[in-house]
Amino acid sequence: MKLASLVLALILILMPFQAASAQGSVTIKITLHTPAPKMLAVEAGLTSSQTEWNIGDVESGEVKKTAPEKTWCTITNRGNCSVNLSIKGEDAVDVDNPGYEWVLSDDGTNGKDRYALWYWIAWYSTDYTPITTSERPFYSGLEVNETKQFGLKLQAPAEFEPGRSMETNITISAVCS
Amino acid sequence: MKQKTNLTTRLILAFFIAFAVVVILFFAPPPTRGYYLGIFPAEARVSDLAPGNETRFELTIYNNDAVPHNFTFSTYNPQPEERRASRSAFPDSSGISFSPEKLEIANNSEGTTVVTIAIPPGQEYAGRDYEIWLGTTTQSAALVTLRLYSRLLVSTSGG
Repeated sequence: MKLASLVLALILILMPFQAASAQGSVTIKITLHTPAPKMLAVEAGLTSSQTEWNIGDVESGEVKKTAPEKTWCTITNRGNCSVNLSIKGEDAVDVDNPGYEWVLSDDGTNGKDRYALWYWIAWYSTDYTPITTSERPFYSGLEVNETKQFGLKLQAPAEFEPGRSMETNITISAVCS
Repeated sequence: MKQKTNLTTRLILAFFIAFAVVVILFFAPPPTRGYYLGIFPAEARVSDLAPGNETRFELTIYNNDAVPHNFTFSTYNPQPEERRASRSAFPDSSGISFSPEKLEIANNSEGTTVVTIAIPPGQEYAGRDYEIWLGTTTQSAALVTLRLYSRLLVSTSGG
């Protein structure tokens, strides 16, 4: 009985030391800082409820501009890396007869069945820049959450077959810089 | 007299509030209808891939638009000035394949394609650092199409 009381007393005496020892332990957390994996995300928005630019009827050589002229489309960097943008266009195709095309000019001049397309980046461009069928730099170093707005200008061919509905498309490409 | 002063003050206040509302509406940006797409990883690194061997990784595509989108995949050999320093053009772009090659992703959803990278056999491909871009393009009826590139950086073993 005396021995049991002695062991119990010893346990009770040692317990605080054990607790103190536990309280005194230190956990060292090592955090290695590595670059965050890159996520590329881009938002393209048109400054209207439409997703198209319906130009309507055009005359030979007529020039049309988007409305708003230079803020018609908005590109926003929604990822976590700075982005380089490029732009390309394509030949316009008759929606009812894909065999008939307007070739996209590569120097901003129009001609027979050849149309021209340009862009203007708001508060950045100093002149309209031609859009061609090959990818060309559009804007470099668009920072995270930064936005750029641009508008388009189109010049109809100098000569073309009337009464057709032509359709074209532009591609904005993005890559982490 | 005091009631007349109060009425005048209220009229002036109402005028300024109406003026402020008109000014805010005039200068506020017009509503935008946009769509928002993403890819991950935007830069993929493959190390120590032996010539004649292949490897795979998953490319995730995020469609944060309110409507579904169809996506297609392609490769693009960037210009030397567009590549990372000391990287050369990927030797054979037919060595890159996507499974599936096309993908429909529902609105506010994500999908994956498996990218397979194969290096041609041969000592000339050993110990090299290559770069090629993987393009993810929306098949959209809209005038503006988005294409997002993932940089694929491949280093081969040996050499």
